[in-house]
Amino acid sequence: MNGLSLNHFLILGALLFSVGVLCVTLRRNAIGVLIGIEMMLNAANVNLVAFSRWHGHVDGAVYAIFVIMLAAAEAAVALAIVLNVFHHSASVSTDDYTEMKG
Amino acid sequence: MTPFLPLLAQETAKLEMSSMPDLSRMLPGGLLCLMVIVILVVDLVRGKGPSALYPKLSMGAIAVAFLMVLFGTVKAGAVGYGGFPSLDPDALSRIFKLVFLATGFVTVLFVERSRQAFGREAEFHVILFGALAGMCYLASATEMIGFYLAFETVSYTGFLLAGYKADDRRGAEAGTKFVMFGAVSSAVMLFGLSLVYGFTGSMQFAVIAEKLAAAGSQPALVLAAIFVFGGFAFKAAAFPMQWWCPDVYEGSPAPVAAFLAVASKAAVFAAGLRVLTYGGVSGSAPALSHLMGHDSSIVQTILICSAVATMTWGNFAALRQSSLQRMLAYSSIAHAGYLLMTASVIGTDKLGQEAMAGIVFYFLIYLVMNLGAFYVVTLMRRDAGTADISALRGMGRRHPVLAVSFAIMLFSLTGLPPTAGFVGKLQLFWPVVAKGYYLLAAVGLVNGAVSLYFYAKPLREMFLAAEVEGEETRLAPDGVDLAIVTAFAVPLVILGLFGWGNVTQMAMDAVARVP
Repeated sequence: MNGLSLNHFLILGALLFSVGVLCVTLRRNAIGVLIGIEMMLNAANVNLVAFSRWHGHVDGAVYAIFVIMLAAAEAAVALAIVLNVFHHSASVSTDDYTEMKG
Repeated sequence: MTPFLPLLAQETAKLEMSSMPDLSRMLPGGLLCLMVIVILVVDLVRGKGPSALYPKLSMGAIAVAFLMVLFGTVKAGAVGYGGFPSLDPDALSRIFKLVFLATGFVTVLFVERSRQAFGREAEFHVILFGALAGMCYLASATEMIGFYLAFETVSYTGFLLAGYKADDRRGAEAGTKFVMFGAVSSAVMLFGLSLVYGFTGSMQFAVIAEKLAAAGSQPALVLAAIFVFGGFAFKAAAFPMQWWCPDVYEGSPAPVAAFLAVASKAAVFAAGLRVLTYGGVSGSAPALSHLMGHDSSIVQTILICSAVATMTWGNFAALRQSSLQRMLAYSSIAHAGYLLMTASVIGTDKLGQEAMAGIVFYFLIYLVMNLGAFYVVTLMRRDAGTADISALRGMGRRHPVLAVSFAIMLFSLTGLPPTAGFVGKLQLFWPVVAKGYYLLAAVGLVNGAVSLYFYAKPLREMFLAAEVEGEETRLAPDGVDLAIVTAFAVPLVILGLFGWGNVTQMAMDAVARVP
């Protein structure tokens, strides 16, 4: 595979996952958090497809297709809910979601 | 003729040869999926506007599914297409399905009784059926794809239900917090699952358990176990993923909070029990709980740490709550802690099976007492417009039936005799003590004592606090309300005094897999 080994893909996956986690924890914008979540999901996808190729069967690749489908559904649900809260507070900043505490 | 078609014919023949799955065994779940479509179509045909039709339709369908599960025969072996077994509707999943369906039925009843305009009524029922179907599949998933699909179905429908009241600021906020935490934890879990797949090269839990036991201790596996646990902890509202729980339970409508607290938690424990013991209970393969090959495995360590943190956090945070709905949220976190404590001793031995039966048994009781308590919250929000505990003041004199029934539920949640909660706690603590984890059991007992304090708060308001002139309780339960709370309270006493042998036996049968 042109000098590319499983490890390269796993490192890519781990990096993508770390970027996603950073994005989720540091972003104060709800949309930004959602983008971070997409990165984390796709980091898992990279792992799944790489492992699938390495093991020599399609299970992991099939799993990745399901994950892509679920990620789309998740984005739809999450955006609908964020849009709804935006109607109430005119803000997508997670700092403003402080109606309930304690 | 092109060479393509014969090939296709060959493939089709092969598919038929590889034994079509026995779909009749998946009928209850199928019925729930069908109801999603039926309600959508009914909504299209009859147009907008509220209708008494949906609750009746929903309750009828859930009751039919319940009876199908209850009287359906349980056979061994998983079902799936093309030699890829993915769902095992066994005895363990059966008992959990009964819990989900009963909770679903009661939730529809609560929504109906709350006389709250939910808006877009049909969609609420569509989402509820989606959630129930997801839970039924989650309880019987035996491989990762089916498991993840069902898990996410339960999650997404939960997000939608929590944020369902679009005109309510708190509801919207609850939905947002739920979806953020939920999506992050599911992404973390997925990453863990991808590592597990990489190590074992299989999607089947049974194969994974075998391979992991052989692999022994490896840093990446420890990481994967922690990540996967993150996903479970989120749904179970256990430490360190419990932060969403109080806000979501407080912000959602009371019936939805009840549904999430009971059915959603039961669903993740059903899946967790299967993952923990896969291959272990039947004795054919080592259990996943013995990941490290020693007595104290990494999974067990994670479970114990989380259990201690969860119950302590839940109970102590509940102490300073003034809203009953929020207090019940913390109480539900604390209960997740007790259940995790017992989950840590699950294993292949007799004690491990008793622990599993204890968890199943506790869910049957938890269903009754927690739903009952949430019904009181539903009534409070309906009549008094608040879930504040002070709204209960003077209930003991004005509505003694309601007050006494609620007191029984609170006693049961605390775990005091002679209620069913006591029997349930006994069965949760016994395997832990018998295994010799005295310190863990002691932490649990101290927590139980702490919980007595905050469960007593509503009791004090109802029976002891003096009524202020002109501020009498606004709760006005009618005959149906009283019948419903009594129906929740009476079984708790009956179960607590006698007859719990049968239920214990039911739980034991459920965990002793069909041979």
